Amino acid sequence: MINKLSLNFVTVCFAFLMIFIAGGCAKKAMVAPEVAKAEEAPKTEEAGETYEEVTAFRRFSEEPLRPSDAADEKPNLFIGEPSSNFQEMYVASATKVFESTPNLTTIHFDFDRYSIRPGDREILNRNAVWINSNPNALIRIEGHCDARGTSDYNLALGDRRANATKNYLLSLGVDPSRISTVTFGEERSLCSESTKPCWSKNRRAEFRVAK
Amino acid sequence: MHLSVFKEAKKKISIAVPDFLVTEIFESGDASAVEGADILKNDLNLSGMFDIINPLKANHINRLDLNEDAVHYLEWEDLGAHAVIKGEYTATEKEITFKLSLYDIVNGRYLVGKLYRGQKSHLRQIIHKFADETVFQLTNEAGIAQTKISFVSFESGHKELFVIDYDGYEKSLKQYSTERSLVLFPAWSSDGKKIAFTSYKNNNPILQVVSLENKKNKVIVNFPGLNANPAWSPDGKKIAFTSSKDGNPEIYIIDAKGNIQRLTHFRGIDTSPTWSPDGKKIAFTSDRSGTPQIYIMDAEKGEKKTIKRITFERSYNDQPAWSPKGDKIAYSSLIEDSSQIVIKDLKSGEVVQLTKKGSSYESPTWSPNGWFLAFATTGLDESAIYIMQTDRPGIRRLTFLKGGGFFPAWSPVLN
Repeated sequence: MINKLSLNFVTVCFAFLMIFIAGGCAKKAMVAPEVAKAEEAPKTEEAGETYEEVTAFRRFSEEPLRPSDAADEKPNLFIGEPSSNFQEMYVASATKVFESTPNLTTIHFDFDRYSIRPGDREILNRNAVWINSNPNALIRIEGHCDARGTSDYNLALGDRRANATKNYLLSLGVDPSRISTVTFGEERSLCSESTKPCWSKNRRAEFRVAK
Repeated sequence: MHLSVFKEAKKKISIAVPDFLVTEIFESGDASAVEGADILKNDLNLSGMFDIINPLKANHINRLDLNEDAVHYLEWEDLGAHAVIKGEYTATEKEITFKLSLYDIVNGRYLVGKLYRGQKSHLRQIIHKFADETVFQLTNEAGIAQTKISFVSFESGHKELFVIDYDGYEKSLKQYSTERSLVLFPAWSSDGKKIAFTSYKNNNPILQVVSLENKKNKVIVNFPGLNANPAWSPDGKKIAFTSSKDGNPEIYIIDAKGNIQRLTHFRGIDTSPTWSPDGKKIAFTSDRSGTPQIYIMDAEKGEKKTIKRITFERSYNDQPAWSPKGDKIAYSSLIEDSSQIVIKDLKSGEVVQLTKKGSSYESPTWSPNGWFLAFATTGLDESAIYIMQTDRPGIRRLTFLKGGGFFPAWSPVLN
């Protein structure tokens, strides 16, 4: 490595060599518990001071975000073409706008449970009647949880609640192609107090409709 | 089970960082030498391994060294220093240079020197690189100064993906998504170049991957229903995730060609996969025993005949995170209606509680050297990301954003 500092290096190296020789290369007893043993890095003693030059730095994008880019050239899934695993119905429902409706009533669940409570079956029976009388309506069932417990498990639990609700409706003859489900876990709370009534209110399956 | 007793805390190394020398500057008022030394001292502090020697005393001996062009090892030793870092800063019109050297006072010798050339914008990266070099030279382990933490925070009313430097430097904060819906569960690839996450931009939780170099974002899994909790394999070739495509939440693996393999077959909930560092096993959460508990299974064969339950305390354990050395699993445990971070030693079976009641904590993530955990406060306290060293008390707040902090994920070393 030749540069302007090399002359200084030679002077400094010489000075250090003098110090080493004068000091008799005395090795001190290990005091600090974690300092590496002298034998493990042999190079530096004879060489004096050398400096490794580093000029490469990682690049992290400073660019403002663009809308999602679809494809890249490489074949790797994680950076190439998007996966094509989705059903036709899912695509249709992704672009529709689902709204809440007074015609379909929310049902509720016990803590850490996704089974339909006996008292809620009546509600679902009425909901099914409305759904069957409105054949053009697409239905989305949303599963929700209270804020106790973890976000991860709650997301899965909300999914189970939405599906349990859907399955009950299917057992009443509702057309499966009209029903989609989505979980929001604890992400869409109706209230935030740490109280039993609030927790109860959040453990729910909600209905939304799109035409 | 008991509160962490911190009995194995590593002994700290005393290090001196005298003021950096300025050999040449180009802009008047260029304070990079001072800034660099400050960042270095902060990195050494945050590494958990060092005590910084009084700067006045360090400067005094350093002046002696400079005057006589020699390192006064005896004087440094008398000061109580085990190691010393000296720095020189140069700035020209074209570039800046930091010449940084590390001296081992205990053994009386020069250990390593680096000459960094870059732009002003590289200043923090340069200093972080040398901080990690120092940690490695003196402890033989990797430092965390070159790491970042990705997390989710509210922006314009929606949870979006962010990344911040491990030291919480606010100007390092970068946004990596504009899903304008809901973003959850960021997960770093092992090369640190990509982050996988769950997005609701299509009104359904799907998996996406964003590149850190160009912010390009693409969908990789979008089955109907739930697609969540992505976890990259250590070799970077696969992603484990949760999907309910077969009727209920199960764990699957997708590889770089798009092949999908199913690992669990239980009709209840199986979620939250995390890989062992050798890539051979996956720990996950399942409610097959009635309530959420943590299990381990073979990553290639799946759960059949390999599944083993590892949590037996209390009735709600989730969000397992396998330590980088493979010896422990951190997770969150529901204790009297609040979630706390707990660590289980896989060999001894010992369970240690890291956080205390008073707040609720979730989503533990390990630093790549396994010395620290980052996690999120939930519940009534102001939402934020916190960091704790696992062998001693003391908690450091990482984020101070109005949008809060959720789902932290610690990057690998980014060099």
